[in-house]
Amino acid sequence: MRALAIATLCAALGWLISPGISQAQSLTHNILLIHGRSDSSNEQFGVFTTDQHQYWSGSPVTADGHVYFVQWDAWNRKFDDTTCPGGQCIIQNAVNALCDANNNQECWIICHSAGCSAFENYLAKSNYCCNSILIAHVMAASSAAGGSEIANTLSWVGHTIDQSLTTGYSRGAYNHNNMQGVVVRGFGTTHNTTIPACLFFPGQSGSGLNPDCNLCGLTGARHCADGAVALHSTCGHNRAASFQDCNSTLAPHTDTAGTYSFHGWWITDHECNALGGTGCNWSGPFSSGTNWNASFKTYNVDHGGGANDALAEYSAAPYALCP
Amino acid sequence: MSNARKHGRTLLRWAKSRLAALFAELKPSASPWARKKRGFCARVPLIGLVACYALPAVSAAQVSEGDATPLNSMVAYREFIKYPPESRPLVGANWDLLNPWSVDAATLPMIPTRITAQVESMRRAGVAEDEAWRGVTLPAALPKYRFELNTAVLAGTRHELKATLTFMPDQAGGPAPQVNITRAELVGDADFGSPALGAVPYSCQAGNATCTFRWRAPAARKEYWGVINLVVTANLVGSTDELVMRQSFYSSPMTAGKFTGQFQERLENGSLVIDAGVNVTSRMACFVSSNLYSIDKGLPSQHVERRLIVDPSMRSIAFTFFGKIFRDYGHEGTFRLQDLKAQCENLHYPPEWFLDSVAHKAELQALQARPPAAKEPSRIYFDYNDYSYTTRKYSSSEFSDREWQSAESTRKLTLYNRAAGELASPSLETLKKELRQGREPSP
Repeated sequence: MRALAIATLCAALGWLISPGISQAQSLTHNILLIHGRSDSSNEQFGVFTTDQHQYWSGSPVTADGHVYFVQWDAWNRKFDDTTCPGGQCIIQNAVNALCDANNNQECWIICHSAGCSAFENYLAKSNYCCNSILIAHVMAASSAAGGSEIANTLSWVGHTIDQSLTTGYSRGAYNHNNMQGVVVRGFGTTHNTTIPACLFFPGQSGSGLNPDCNLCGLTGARHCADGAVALHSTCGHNRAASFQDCNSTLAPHTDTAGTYSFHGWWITDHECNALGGTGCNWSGPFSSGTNWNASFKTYNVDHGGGANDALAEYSAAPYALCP
Repeated sequence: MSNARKHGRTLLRWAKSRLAALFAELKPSASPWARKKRGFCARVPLIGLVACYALPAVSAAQVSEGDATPLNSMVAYREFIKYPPESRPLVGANWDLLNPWSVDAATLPMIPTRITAQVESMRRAGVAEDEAWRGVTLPAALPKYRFELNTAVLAGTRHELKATLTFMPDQAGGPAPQVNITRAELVGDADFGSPALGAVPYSCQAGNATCTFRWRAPAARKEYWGVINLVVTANLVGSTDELVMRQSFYSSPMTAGKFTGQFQERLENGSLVIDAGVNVTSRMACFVSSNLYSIDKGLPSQHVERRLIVDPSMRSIAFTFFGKIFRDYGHEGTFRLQDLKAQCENLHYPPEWFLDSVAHKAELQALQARPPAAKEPSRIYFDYNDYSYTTRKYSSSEFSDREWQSAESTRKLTLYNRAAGELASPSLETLKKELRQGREPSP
């Protein structure tokens, strides 16, 4: 009885310091899918429970979650545009509406390509550290957050979004280290289509290269990119240069080769680090056919394949990881 | 490359002990130690509030290794809030923070414009990027070019762009391509309809292997604002093929203010505070940052990035370099402040809404339906500066080694804890397994 009284007192006092956060109700699990660069001609903007834009290959399997498709104008707007339907505006509104623990909401984010640029921009500029928004995971598939050399070359003939997808603009728009304690788990994708990979993306020769990356020229150089973005972007590296693998700054990893803070690969964590082993319940990837390269922490799929892998991984992961 | 494997079992052991410690701290019901803490809570309610708030969550006995990843979100957040969000350790690997105005240069192919036009035509017709490139015939040799910029952002009308263009052979060791530049001009931001902004003066070194372009915004006018493209048209000697090389940069001819170069330092609660003088011209939501270097160690020490509203009434902005970071990294002696930068948001609503969008979500949601008619670039900077300031000498003991604490971050930790607890559901685990296997869920 005394313990019950103490617990009641404590709960009541706890309530006083966080008046908006109810413990009576379970958290609702919302899964936000944020698409990348795409022709928005017939797109409606905002948050939808169906894939009105028909961007994704499907919907993630969920036991008790609610899937929302976040649709922004990733064609005629820049990812950091604070006016709707720009990326910053639509995503900020979506997160505030669906990821607020004051409303008993918790979010899982699956972003693809420029959708990751828009989401990271939102997060880095928000006061996530100290507000009631609750984000469990960010699965960043083929992230364009570090920009693309294709945009460097061809943004002039593209659309407004392309001006913001250059390496210079993407990396200068916000502090990529400032994820405010939210970990971004990247799907670094390496399946190349020979011509763009060799023409535009950085490469390197030497030993220990990623065999999944494109072999270019006569020097044996490997250029690691998925046809649209290079690993420097998809893996969250802080230099726009040639990288052969993903690294991590998620504890206990302390990559010193240049990865933005709070960025790592899907999936790494203290317990399993994605590699399985005795007593390890997290041995992702959880789905088959992702073409995971365990040595380099990359996926041998093309740019669109990254989105498919993220959906497959969410679907196949245990409930406790991806509800 | 194989961090994961190297750390292997040590990692697992470390993780288990770490998580156990976390649970001991966050779940008072989990251990005798925790039971004592519960009593403490009852006796000293104001201090016990936070710890007690975790009580309704799961107990340690309910948590298996399978809960590790949700908990790791909490672990990461907990690591983050060890220091204040605006004060972060700065190390040599933080290349981007150490070079706040720079971005790596890319080496790109010199593709004749007739070919890029063909590719673009196919792209517009809906042909995929890679397919479009397969559909054209590229020259046997494609020389390369590389733009090195002194800055990726021009802040103010006195800040000059220096872009060095280097031509390189198709294969390493080959002769440098002979290039004739016929035009160099600027094109403005797509938000303003990509206006032509005129010619750019340049000079080439002997052999034309390297050319330098210089430009600064002639006036604080909108057409010079946003993404500006430097477009260089050329041809290879002996070829009629036109080549176009482009390099974009961001220009902010209008500025929200400037740093004055005046500084004052003080110790406050065991942290070093440096007030940097400012003249603010516009009231805006800004990210104001600076770097601190340890002069004695010759190492970067801290990066501070404040998220605040700047206002014309302000005379200085305080940068707080957190005491515990100095202690944890063993930095003492004299320090140098540099890399002062302020990046502000071009908003069409009050900056308070941006800083606390959760509190103003209804207003922001309402704006979604009526965006402004004209598009504009998103960033405005303070004038570029190269000020630096050297502090007096500090001994380690002058800095506090207290961790940062705030009610908000403690509340968020509690939320993470609660969220992880709610995911420990064997029945939902089974349900998801059945769903992903395409089976009818068990009744």
